[in-house]
Amino acid sequence: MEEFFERFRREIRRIIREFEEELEELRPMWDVNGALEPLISITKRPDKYIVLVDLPYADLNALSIEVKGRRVVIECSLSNELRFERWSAYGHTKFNRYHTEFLLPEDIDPTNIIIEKDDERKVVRIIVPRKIL
Amino acid sequence: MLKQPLRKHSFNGIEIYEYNELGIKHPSYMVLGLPDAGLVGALATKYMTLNLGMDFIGEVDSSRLFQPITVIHRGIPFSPYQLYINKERNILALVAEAPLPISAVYPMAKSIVEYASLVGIDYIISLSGIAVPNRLEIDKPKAYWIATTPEAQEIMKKTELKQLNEGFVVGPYAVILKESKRRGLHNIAILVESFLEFPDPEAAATALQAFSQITEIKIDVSKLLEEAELIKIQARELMKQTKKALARMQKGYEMQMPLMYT
Repeated sequence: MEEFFERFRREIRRIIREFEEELEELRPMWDVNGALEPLISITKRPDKYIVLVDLPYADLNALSIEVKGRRVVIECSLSNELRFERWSAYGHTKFNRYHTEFLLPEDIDPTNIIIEKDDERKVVRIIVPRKIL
Repeated sequence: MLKQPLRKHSFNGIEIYEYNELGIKHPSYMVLGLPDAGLVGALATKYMTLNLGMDFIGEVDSSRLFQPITVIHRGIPFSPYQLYINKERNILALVAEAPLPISAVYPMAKSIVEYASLVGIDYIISLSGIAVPNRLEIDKPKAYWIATTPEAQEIMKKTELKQLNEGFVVGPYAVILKESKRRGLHNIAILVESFLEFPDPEAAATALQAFSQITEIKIDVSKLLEEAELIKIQARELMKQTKKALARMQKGYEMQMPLMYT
């Protein structure tokens, strides 16, 4: 019986995960309040995760990265407000900052996170150690 | 440009619509800019059409294999896969504004090769990125080439670019290379070191400089580099969609080494 419930729980988690992924695909990477969502790349290494965040046109002096457990919240202003006369079907739009939130994998050790900024390329590298099991 | 196509070519479930006459007997080059690692080909080819003032000539579509997407430019609906021509410089270019679904990769690649053969293209030139894990540390990305005929190889050996001797290529360009080799068509693939998951205008500029070396057609890439950050912002959504498509194609193979006898 216990095995049946465990399978049931796994199946429910899988369905929720798929549903969240589908919602993610539908969501645009910008909002009408002036925020852009940056692209993120996560690479797994034996002892760490390397998270790259692409922040073109950002003022990296105004970068804020908050890590609470597995949740990462990134905020950063743009160097200047960007105005677009035509942006998708939305017409006139302006952007002034980046904002994103994401979850790191379960086996991270959040105590010794290193953050490096490449101001020329506007890429931020977050090195997150993995737990030694 | 709201008019009906002059003709339609059908290959493998893919339709190519021509709205205007090519206007030249046979274009020397067909440049392909399909979304791939770092959007290198897509950015390079789009920039080429603007920089060389190329004219819209046709579009590629498939009711069976493509997603139901229409892109609107200046109020006019187009397929996300468009053909442009520059008659003076003898170039036909395929610009792509959406990634290919995995089920369309083989039919699209084969259709491109068949169409190139039909209109008498001399050289198919594929512009692409090849993802490298240390891209952040590389100031000037290197360009590599693969060619499908001895004549094309001879041309490339005269350039400063390096031949890719061992490795994997994944995606539509991989199929175009195989098909071109089998048919004896000249296909040159230019692969530039790039980010996998971020748009890479610097790598796109390197791809265009490599194209200029091969064809002696000058393309000023200064504006592409000046506006790189803005281009990266505008290309984020396409990169996000392309990343998903590449994962389905097992793009990670390109970072592996094939079995070797040494």
